Amino acid sequence: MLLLIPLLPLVGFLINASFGRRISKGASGAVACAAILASFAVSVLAVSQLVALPEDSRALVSHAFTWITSGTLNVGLTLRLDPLSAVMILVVSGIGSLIHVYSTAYMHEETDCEYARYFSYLNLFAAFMLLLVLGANFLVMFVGWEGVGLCSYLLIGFWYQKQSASDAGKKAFIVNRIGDFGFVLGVLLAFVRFGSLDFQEIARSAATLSPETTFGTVSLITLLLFVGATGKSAQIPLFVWLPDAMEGPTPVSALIHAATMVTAGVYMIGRNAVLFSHAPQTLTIVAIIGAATALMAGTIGLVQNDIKRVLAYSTVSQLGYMFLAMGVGAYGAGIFHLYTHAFFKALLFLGSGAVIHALHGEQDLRHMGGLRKDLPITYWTFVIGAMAIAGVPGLAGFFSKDEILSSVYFGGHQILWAVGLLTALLTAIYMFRLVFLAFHGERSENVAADASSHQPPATSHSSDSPQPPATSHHLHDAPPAMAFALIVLAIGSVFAGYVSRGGWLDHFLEPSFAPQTLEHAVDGGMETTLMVIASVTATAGILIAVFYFLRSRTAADGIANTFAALHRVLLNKYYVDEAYDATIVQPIHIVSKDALWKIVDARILDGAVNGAGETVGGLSEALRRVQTGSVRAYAGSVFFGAVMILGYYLWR
Amino acid sequence: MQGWLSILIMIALGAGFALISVLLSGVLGPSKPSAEKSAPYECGMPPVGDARERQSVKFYLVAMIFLLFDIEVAFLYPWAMALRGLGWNGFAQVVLFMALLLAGYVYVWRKGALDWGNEKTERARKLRT
Amino acid sequence: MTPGALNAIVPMACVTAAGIAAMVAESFREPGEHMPIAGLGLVGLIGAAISAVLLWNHNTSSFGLVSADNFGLFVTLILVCVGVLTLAISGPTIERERLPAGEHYALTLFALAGMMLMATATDLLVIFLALEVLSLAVYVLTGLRRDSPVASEAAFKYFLLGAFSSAFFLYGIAFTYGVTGSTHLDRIGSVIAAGAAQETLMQRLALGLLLVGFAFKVSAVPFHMWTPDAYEGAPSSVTGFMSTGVKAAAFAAFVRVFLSAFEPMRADWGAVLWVVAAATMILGTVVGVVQPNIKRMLAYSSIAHGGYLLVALLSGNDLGKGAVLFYLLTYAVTNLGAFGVIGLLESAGTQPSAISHQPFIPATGHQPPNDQVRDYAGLWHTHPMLAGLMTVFLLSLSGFPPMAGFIAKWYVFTAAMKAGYSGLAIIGVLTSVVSVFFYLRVVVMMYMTEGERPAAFPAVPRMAGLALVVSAIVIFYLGILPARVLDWAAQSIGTIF
Repeated sequence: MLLLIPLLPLVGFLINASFGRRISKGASGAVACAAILASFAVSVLAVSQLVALPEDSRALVSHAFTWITSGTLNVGLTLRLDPLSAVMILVVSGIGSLIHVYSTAYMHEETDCEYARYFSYLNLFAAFMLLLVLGANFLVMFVGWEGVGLCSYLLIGFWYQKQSASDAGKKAFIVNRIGDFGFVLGVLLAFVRFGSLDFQEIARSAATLSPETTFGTVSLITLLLFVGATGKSAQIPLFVWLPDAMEGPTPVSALIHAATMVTAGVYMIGRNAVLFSHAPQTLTIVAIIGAATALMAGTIGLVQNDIKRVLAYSTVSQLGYMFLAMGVGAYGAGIFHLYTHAFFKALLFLGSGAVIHALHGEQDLRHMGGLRKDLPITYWTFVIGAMAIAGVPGLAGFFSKDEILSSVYFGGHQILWAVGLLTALLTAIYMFRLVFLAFHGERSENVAADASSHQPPATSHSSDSPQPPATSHHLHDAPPAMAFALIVLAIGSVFAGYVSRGGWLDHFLEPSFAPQTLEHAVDGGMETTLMVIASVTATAGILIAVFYFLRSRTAADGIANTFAALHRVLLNKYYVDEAYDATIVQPIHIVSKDALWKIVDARILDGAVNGAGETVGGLSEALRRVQTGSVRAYAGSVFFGAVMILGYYLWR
Repeated sequence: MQGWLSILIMIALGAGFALISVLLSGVLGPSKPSAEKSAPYECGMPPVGDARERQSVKFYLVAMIFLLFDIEVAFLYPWAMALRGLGWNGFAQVVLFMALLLAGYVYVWRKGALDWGNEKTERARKLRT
Repeated sequence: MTPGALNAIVPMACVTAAGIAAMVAESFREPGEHMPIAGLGLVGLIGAAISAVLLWNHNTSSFGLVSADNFGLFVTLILVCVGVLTLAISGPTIERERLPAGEHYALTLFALAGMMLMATATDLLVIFLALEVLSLAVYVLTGLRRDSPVASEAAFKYFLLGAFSSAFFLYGIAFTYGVTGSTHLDRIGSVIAAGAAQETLMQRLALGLLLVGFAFKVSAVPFHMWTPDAYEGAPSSVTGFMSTGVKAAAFAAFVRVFLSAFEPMRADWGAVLWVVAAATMILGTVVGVVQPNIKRMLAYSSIAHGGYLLVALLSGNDLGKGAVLFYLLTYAVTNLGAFGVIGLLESAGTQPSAISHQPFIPATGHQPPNDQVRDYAGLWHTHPMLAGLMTVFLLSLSGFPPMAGFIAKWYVFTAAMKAGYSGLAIIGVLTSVVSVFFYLRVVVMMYMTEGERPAAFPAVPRMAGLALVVSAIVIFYLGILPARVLDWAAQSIGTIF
């Protein structure tokens, strides 16, 4: 039965990929939605079976077939449902379903062919993502890991007519390859160290070890795996691709680049919790990177003007939060935040999608305003999402964030706790800045944006829809399919946090992180104090946003002018892209294109000689020169190699 | 190794003599070049074109084909000498060898590689396409 | 001579017979007449496959020079696959380039016979003979487009350098004979093993010279220079053939010579191969990134794949040995598939306005072939089936799960890690990560770029289409259910070492 969960979307993909050009939009949308909904239904069924099992043996294993056997290497295509993957498949297939439904309306302007292409990618993504979280060993996970990367790449570049979109796709791909490099090496090393690729077996072998006090093999394995996680989950230093990934269609941003794929890194650490627990040094690195990313992305989010970019940096920041939790050993809290974040971040993205849809592709916050009256459903659901992410007490984000912060605090990392708290404050500020700029105030269409803009102007997402100054009577609220998704997610954002009441979720997840879960001495009184501090922080952030972006925007501009240099640095995202370009991209390009190729591939040399030959005249003359010239070089290379090898043998 | 020494001396002597005569004639002989003297033929034939002319590729083709069938004879001769000892087995092997060669021969013939004239080569060119 | 003594050479005899039949048939073909010459070749190949299967596990040997052990037969079967696919996909190329069909098929079959001989030979001289048989045929195949200067240039370069490297190889055989008094691999192995304690300079020179000869044939750095030119100049079907067939045969002999006869000298060749493998992977990948011509790009990809195979060979453990065979099979199917698509697209007529990117196009009415990466722009819109197949081939080449290429690479890297060559494994992972970039460049072109021209594709010939689809299915089969073939590969190589 487990096999059905990833298989159903795969079937949807195959249908849409083979017949998509011949069937109508309605049909291809229906196929895709049916596939993912069926997968969701099966997931629910499977999870209910899982919950019915006794606590200490909560796992369903489905062994499809033996994939590779040879000598000591024995890997099966095995799926394993345990509490951790149960949470993940519900999130992926559940939120995935909603986003499929939402997309049927959002993508309606595409041609039949493109529409089917979109849904086939989306289905394929769901299949790979479900495989990723259900895989019982590294290899199956890797199949999913690579697959979701490919789909993400294809979907970011979906509107490939737009140069920025295909560039963003390329960037995402390259950055992710760096992460994959670490991941593959980590897996290979784990195999050599533990002789297995099965998560359970590795955990069992690792559990017998004592935690490494110095930097040893396990630390190296986990560090390499974490490099993979930073690529996929957009952490420092590999976070640069995610904001650019917003060039993709908004539902894609919601599903892949906010709710599911980018959390794969967090999930992977949770999946290997035992391994990571035995490498305290790696955990420290994870925690510090997580906190640093959370803070950095939060500050950048404060000043961005593109609605989706703000959300993207917010995603990076929240992912940093999850890594912070993982790093202090609070795996349950990290996964809990992953789960609540999926709801409200998907909601926020879909809400922004509804705004962009209504404004025919406008994404610049400075061109928005006063949308509250025209888009009531979008507005209210968006506010709920913003409150949830800001950590307003009683909503989903509050519970998970509070759990992370208290784990960090009781884990003895007071500095990291302070960073986390500061990030929470920033989160509240930038989210409500977004709300107020987009939905409150007056629409200001003639802002001299271009003069002060440091980022590429947001272009129309659909090449055929012009970018009109859409006057308010043209505005329409989200169509039913979109509204439905928004409302369901809003309900989720409110109530999703309550599963942790009385530590139920932690307890449920515990077997997945066994045999070792860090138990911190929790001081009840202190816990309440922390909770109050967190609530006050969230409220303070919102109030700051109210003051600067609702009451007196001139004050906000005043601050920006006072700290002009800082503002510019933030607006340019700390110049990280530029730094990478100068230090890494350009040198590689020069080496590969200008140096290696020219020296090594004599074709260039041929070209030069050919040119000379042409001016001389005769074709045969030129050809003869080409041949003798380059063959001599080639033979020289052979001779050089022979001399090197023989010389080595002679004088060794 | 002892026996080879004399040969080595022989080689050295031979090479040395050649080298020394060439060098000596260059050093001792008077050198007064003039345009007439450096012409390729002193007896009045003005040189026309480059000495290194292109040969028709036909020459090489024929030479190569000749070589192939010449080898055939080189194989047949020892076989004929040892015919009685090799018996039917050897006979079968040579027949197979001849058959293979015959196939090549037929191919070469039909393709016009043996024709020198123009008429048949034209036909062959048509055949090829 | 007992009749059974010839059994071991039956597979190559079948192929040779088919080759001769093709040659004779061609010479009796009237101008414009269509003959099912490819069918003749197919019959020969099927004969070879059947005889190989019948010989399986019998471990027969002919004249003590050719040994039909399971390892050799496995490679023979890979070569049969290569042959069948080549015959199937070469139709469009032959038609477009107006190549002499009979010669094309006959030479392909002769080269295959040489390859099979090379894979099963157990004597250095026979290996050399086989090497020359296959090389001569492939040189001619490379230059088959006689009116194209690029092709002539390529063939000429390939021939000269090939002759050069053959000399090294032959010299190596001579030295080996001088040291061990034999050219037979078993004998060489036992002599070297017996004298392992006092290893002579001569012995090391012999090793080095043989290494150069093999390295040239598998186009390892720095003996790779001919590869891009030859691959670009040859007709696509030939490029596909030589990139897979020659590689398979050369690696089979390489494995046989180095893992059996010269195994006692592993300390000597291990270090050299380490450097060569690393350089090959790095150079093939890095230079491949900037190639604008797809055949040239795949040539560098082929160099890089040679590097991975060298890693597997170097690992030399059970995993590594199995990995060599599995990798060769995977690579053969995948690369031939890719070249099949390239051949089909080349035969799609370009508009006369197409920009000439080759410096010398003689006035024979030939248009430049569509072999630039940018020629693939928008293929998905004009011919989705071909684009889909090409995507499968390219992703498999890049080692993307769950395609066969992934399993093959995974196997190689695991073998390297197990054998303690973690440095090579790291370089391998890094280069395969980078290489995805250039394979995906083509995929991006196909899906994410608008084509400049309304491409009018002729109908895909049934044989070629079938071959491509079958290749794609095989790639998925080997990727998803590789267990059986892997077992088979590991066992077959286990029988001789």
